[in-house]
Amino acid sequence: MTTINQEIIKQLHTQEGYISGENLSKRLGVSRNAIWKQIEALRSLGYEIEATPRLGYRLVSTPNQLTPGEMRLNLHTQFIGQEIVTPTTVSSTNDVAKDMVKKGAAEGLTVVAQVQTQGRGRRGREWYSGEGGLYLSIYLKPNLPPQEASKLTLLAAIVMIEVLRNDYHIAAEIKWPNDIFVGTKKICGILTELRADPEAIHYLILGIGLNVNQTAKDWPEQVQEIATSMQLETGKEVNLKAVFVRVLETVEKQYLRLQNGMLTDLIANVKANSCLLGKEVKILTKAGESYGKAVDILDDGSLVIKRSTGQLEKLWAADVSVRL
Amino acid sequence: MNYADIKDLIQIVSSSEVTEVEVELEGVRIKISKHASQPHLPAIITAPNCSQDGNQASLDASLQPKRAAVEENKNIIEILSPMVGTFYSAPTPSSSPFVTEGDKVSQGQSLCIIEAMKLMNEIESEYQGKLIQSLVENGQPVEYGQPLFLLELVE
Repeated sequence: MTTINQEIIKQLHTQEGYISGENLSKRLGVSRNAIWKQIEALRSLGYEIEATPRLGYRLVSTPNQLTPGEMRLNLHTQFIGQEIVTPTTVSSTNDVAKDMVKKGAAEGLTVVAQVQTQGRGRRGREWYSGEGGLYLSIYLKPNLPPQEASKLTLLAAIVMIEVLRNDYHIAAEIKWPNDIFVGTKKICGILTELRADPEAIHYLILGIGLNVNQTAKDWPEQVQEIATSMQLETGKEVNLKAVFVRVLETVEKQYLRLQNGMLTDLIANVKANSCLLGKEVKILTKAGESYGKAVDILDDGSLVIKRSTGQLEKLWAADVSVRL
Repeated sequence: MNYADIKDLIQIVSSSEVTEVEVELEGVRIKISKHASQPHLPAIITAPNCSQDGNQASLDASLQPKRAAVEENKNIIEILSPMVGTFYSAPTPSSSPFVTEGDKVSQGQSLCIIEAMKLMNEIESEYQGKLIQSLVENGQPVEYGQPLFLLELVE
């Protein structure tokens, strides 16, 4: 999309009612004929623009896509998303964000894509990143010792719970450490990457993959069985830009609370929304498969498992699932 | 085996003609070598049988002689874990390790990943040098501040 296109969209968005072709051409410093051509180009991209003689143009609807230039229009944040990068095709938004951080980007940089060619999860596992999803990475530089960096992964989980439950009334739960599930199906994955030495965090990239408008036909059969989307849960198409704005605003709200020492309810919130606590679970680590009961999540975020022998064990990294 | 036993063992080896010895006792494996090129590196000890719940005794025993090695040779430094988690030597389970012993390491080069609760911390080398030893096996839990690698600094 050209800059002039983006400028026209901005004008149409901010204008109540109609804006005349003459007015547009004056504001943008191009001919009325050029404006007309750009309006046609926007229509072909899916924008519904009404043209009425003597009144001018009016924006009726926008395509349900993350179009550059539009994403910040309703975004009310102090620093998250003040710079938004929208690569058209991207291997992984985390990789793009890491690159840009190394080149000196400011905290709050957000990389967002609708498709990832190499979306990934824990330990290089593939994360199905087709059209209809929201894939974003946010650069943060938390003022925390590195051993507390995992608080950010829990923060991301409660942010997604807040957005999904409060704004969209989806009964989402947290599967430790921070996968977001609805029932037995995954709706959101969070992968955080960090650079730190023992003294300080250099940077942290919060990667969030959210299934928004995918339907069963968008996924291969084996994915259909384990995945769900916001559209599948609500029965309605969901506005991608609105979800994007809600996620960024909620991340910033909770992150500022964390930085100010106000996020005292983090673990309580994680525990209250956990789908594992109190259940018999299967634990998969490199050492193999084992079983136990998930009994607690400690202040450091670790999961406590009670073995059949009564022995308690703390987990830091493992695949844990409810035993069926 | 305690620290005094290890010290005795080092003394026996250093006063003998033997250049390398490896002993395994009570889950602790000790390898002592005296290479001409590294005269001040008397003992390297690893605890490969350290289980998921952690064998604290063997861990502590393994730390002390390494520190001694570092003190004696200022060119060899330890790279420490910045957090509690699981150590991964490769970016994905199917790929080859970031580094192997003997590799030249440049500043900013990735050495390993420490994972805790889906937080992936890719540890980069702050120094240029040569990797002398990897101290932790792939998939093993590590503690905060635990040495992960020995790196010989190269000017």
